Amino acid sequence: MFNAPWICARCFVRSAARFGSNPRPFLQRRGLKTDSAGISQALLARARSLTNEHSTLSAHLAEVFDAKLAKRVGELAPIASTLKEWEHANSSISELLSLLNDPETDAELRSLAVEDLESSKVALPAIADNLKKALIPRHPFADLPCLLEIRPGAGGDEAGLFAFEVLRMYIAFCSRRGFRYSLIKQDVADGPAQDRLSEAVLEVDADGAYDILRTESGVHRVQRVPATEAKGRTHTSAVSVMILPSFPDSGSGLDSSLNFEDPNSDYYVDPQEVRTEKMRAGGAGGQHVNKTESAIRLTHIPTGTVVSMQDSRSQHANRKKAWQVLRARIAEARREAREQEMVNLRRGAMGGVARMGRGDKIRTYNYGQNRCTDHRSGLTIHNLDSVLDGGEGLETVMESVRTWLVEREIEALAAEESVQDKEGLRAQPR
Amino acid sequence: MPRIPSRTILDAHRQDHLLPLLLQECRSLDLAKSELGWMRNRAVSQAQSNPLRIETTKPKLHQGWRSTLRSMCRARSRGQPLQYILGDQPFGDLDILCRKEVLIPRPETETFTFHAANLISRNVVNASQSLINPHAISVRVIDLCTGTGCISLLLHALVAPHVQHLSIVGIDISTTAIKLARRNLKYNIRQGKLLDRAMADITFRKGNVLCGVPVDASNEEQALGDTPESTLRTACHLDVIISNPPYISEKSYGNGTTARSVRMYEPRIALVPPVLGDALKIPLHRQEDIFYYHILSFSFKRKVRLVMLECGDHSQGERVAALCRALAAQYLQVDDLCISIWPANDGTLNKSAHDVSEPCMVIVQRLGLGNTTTCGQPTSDSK
Repeated sequence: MFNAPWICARCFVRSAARFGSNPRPFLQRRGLKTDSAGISQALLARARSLTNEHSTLSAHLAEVFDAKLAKRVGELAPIASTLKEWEHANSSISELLSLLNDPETDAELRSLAVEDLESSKVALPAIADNLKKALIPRHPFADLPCLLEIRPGAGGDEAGLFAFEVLRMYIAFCSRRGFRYSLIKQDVADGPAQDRLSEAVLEVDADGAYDILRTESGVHRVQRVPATEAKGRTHTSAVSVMILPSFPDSGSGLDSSLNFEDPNSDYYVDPQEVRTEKMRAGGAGGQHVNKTESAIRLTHIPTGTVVSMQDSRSQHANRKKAWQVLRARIAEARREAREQEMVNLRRGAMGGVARMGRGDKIRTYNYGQNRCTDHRSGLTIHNLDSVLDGGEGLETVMESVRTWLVEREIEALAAEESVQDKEGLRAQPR
Repeated sequence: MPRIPSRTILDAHRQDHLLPLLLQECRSLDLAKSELGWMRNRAVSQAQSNPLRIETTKPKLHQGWRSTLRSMCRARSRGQPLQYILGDQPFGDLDILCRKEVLIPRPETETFTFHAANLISRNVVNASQSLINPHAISVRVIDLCTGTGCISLLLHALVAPHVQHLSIVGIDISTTAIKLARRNLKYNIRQGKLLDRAMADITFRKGNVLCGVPVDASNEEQALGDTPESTLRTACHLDVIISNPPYISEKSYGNGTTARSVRMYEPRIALVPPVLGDALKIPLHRQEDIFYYHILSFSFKRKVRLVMLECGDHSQGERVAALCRALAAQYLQVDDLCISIWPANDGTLNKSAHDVSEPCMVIVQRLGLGNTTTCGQPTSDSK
């Protein structure tokens, strides 16, 4: 820009503003009371209490076996081991320091101690990072396969066209990663061509696919000159992608919290609350007619969620798939509601940091500049094709979002802990 | 039949030039588009799987998928059923092959078969509670007028995991149907949709349910009684008859109730019961109920535990239930009998308005012999 012979005033101000302030590091630091090792006291306290729980539970487990306890212990084990590692490193550092401060130490030992101290100090931040990651609670759906739902948003025909490309991108991604996938639903908008989606649901049938694709949930924005544009203007349209958990069939030995047929489960859908409609005309049925109409529409009455399915020739198969999608949508909505509650609780501590929901714009694909920018991690890739082919580019973007998510989680955890600390202090004087 | 507005035809033509052809049979744009999609998928996969495509010189095999699709659409526009064009129909989790001269499985029959499998499983559980050895139960099913064999095969797929000794006999009068049913059995085992034991458990035989006493009765007697070694081994039998017999009356076959495509392409013998010379001897109100009379009297003779019959609509269901009561009085077996119609039509369901003209299933359960099933169970379950 500065090589140009002249610059308009507005552009200059804007670019100056960009250089002047860099908000991101500031954001990351907020709310973190860090000590020398890069981990806040609040988090450390939490890790200690969880480690205590781990040791008592495993002592209990040595006497009586309990599947639930064993699972909990398995969850806590990495925290305990990382904390031990961290404490070990810390204690060795303090030992070395005391050795250095001691005037009686001879010179040879002193030089060795300095070397050791340096290597320990280098290792400490990595261990602290691991500890933070171990402290993040596991996502409830992390182990599940997922459903990927694509819907065009604002932008008319162009949005439908881009939705088709997004679908192709994820199919390519799945086949590159070796995930089994099936297209459950593909609704094409009215028109001469088959490449304008009005809705698509892709099932990715690999354990843990939800965790991998979770970064993709949100609004994807495209900026390009559409094929339908006659005058060569650039359009901006949006496609929304949703990642839903796909529950395995019952009886596969999963724990009860994810078993959707158990009425006590969080994700149970009462069949009484679901209205099933077969879209067929009245009149005689059975042997009198031979109808090929197999569409099914399910309506979950309390939430008003509607799922219709017509892709398969079998009504039975359509009903099964519609139930799968309905269940996934309701489960995701319930989880989101719970998360929202948590965020509201935390808000005081976090200073009103907005949550990244599915309604937010997460990524821009700009064809004119051949770039793809993720708005959460701030990463820009100047090779759009490698992203749209579901290849390296997409992997890089997803990885950057994943580290961003981890940062956010740690931030949230620290905030939560500090809130609890404050409340604890307030409670004590009484 | 209402005329299709030319606006719709124009719309359809703009989207795909084959759609107007399909509209003639489908009558709605959405359905026509779905059917076109299914046929296109089939045509493409056929073209890909045809290895002779390049080498052969025969013009017919040289066709690309586009011309295959076009000929499919033409056939469909003449009213030929989609299932005959594509050659199969999904039924539950199975794929049932279809061909001319054999009735195509209907979605209602699919629903009824699922319900029947539930009933059988529940009866097995009930019986096993009153026994010391729960594995000693054998279930024997006769599927009369089996056609493609769809009911027999789906029942096996659903019930076999719960029952160790299961034998299913499918009977039909048509040799073509029996051949097709056997082919379906092999086909579904090969596809991995049926267990391997289905080959031994399921048999299809030719037989006449009406009148032909010497041939079919002995066949059925055999079917119910010819397994002496299993009789010794097992302590309790559960005999079941399930049937989807021809139930369309002469009148509703001719007056437009029955769709044109069905009349033109599907076998009349599978739809309309024949008029027999000795019909006058049988006390029946309606000619189309003749199959039910024969099946029910057979069930009373053999004291079958569970009989499930598909009927054309609710009024026919009522007639069959009344017939069943009359026959029960005749055979002096009134006490332990429980007759119900499923799905129940008492206005509790939100769509009961046009439910009356839809098919239903008459369920006759024989109680006793330590069976604690209560009478209200099948109906209360359906709500």
